[in-house]
Amino acid sequence: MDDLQIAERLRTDLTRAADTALLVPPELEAVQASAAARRRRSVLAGVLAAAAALVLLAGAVAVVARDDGRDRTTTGIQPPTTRPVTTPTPSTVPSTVPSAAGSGGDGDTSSLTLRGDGLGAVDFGAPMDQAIAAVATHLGDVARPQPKAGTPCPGDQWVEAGWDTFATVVWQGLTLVFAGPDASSLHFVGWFALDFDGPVNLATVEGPRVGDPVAVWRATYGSRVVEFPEVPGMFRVALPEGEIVVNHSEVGGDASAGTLCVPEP
Amino acid sequence: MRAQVSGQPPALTLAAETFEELFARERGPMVRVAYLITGSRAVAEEVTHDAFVRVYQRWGRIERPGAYLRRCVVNGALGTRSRREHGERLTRSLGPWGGAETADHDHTLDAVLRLPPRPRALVVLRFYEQLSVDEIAEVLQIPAGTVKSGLHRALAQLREVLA
Repeated sequence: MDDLQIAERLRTDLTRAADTALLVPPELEAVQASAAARRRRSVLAGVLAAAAALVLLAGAVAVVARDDGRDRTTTGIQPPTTRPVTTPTPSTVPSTVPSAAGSGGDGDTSSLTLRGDGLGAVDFGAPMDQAIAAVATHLGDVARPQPKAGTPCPGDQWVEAGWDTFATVVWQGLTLVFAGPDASSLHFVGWFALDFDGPVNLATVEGPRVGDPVAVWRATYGSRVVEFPEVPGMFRVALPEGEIVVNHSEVGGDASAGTLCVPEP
Repeated sequence: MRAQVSGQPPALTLAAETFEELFARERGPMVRVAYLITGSRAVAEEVTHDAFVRVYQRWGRIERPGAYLRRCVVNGALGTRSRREHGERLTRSLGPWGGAETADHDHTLDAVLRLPPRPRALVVLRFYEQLSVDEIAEVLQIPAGTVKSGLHRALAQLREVLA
C-alpha cells in the first residue's frame, strides 16, 4: 500500500467512523452558560486569593512593625486618622497622589459606595492615578505604589494579553488593585476591604455595609444573595451592575468584601 | 485544491464575523476531530464544549479563531484519558466471534488510536480535516518540519498495520 492509497483510506475511513459515531455537538446556550459560570468562579478565586495575600501582607507588616519598635514611622503616607497605614512598599515611594477634592467624589464623603463595576465614583478600567485620587477624596492622600511584575488575577487570559504588571494601594484595610501591560499603564481592576477601619462607611447604594451579616444583605437583595456552602460566612451579591463577594464570619469576626479582575483585559 | 470535509469550507482561512457563526460552522467538525483523537464520544463532546468555552471567553482577543479552536480541541483531546482508559467501546458491529464482520473504518480508527498521542493528532488533522502541513504547524504551534517527520513516522506505522 503506497502513501496515496493509505492517505485515501484514512480519509475515507476516518470520515465514515466519525459520521457513524452518533456524536452530539455542543449547544451554544450551554457553552455561554459555562463561560459565565467560569467567570464567576474566576472572580471568587481572585477575591479569595486577594484575601489570602492581604492576610499575609498584614502579618508581614505586623512583624516588621514589632521589630522596628517605637522608632518606626509611616513614610510617604498622609493618613487621615491616627491608625498607621500600610502600602506594599511605602519606604521606597516618596511621592504621593493628591486627593481629588471636589471632583470624582460620591457627593457624600461620609460613605464610599461599593459597586460591582467600580468603587465610589470611579469605574473599573480607569487609570490608576484617577482611581487613587477619587478614593483619596474620602480617605486621604496615599503613597504612589511601586508596580511589580506578575498578575493578581487568575486565568491565563491576563498573561496572554500581556497584563503582567500590577500594583496595590491600601487605605486602612481598603485595597485598590491595578493591573496593566506596564508600569505606566495600570488600570483599576479590583477593590478589596478587609477589616476596614477608615473614617467612612463602605456600603452599597442600597445600604448594606461591609461587616453586616448575611441576613441584612438578604433583606435588601433577596435571592440575589447566594452563599458559598464550602466557605461559611461568605456569599456573593448580584448587584445590578455587577457582582461582589462578601464575607462575614461569625466565628472569626472577619468582615471583608471585594471584587477583583473586572473587566478582563 | 484541498477537498472539503463534510461540506465544510477550509476553516482556517475564514475570518468568522461572530462567535455564533464560528460555532455553527465548527461544532460538528470539531466534535468529530475530538472523537477521532480520543475514540470516546463522551470525552469528545466534553472536550469540544470546553474548547468553545475557551474561545468564547477570549473572543475579540484571538486573531485566528479557527486555528485557536482547533488547538484547544487537540490539546484537550490529548490531555484526556484514552478510550481504553475511559472504558468506552467504539460503536461497531460485532467481530468475527459474533458472526458479523468488523467494519473497515473501525479497523482504521483502531489503528489510528494505537498511535502515540501527538502523531495521532497529526494524522487526524492531515487526513480527516485535510489541513496542510503549514496549517497543522500553525494549529499545534510546532515547526512544519516536525509535522512532516511526525506524519512520515505515523504513516509508516499505519502502513504495517493496515496492509
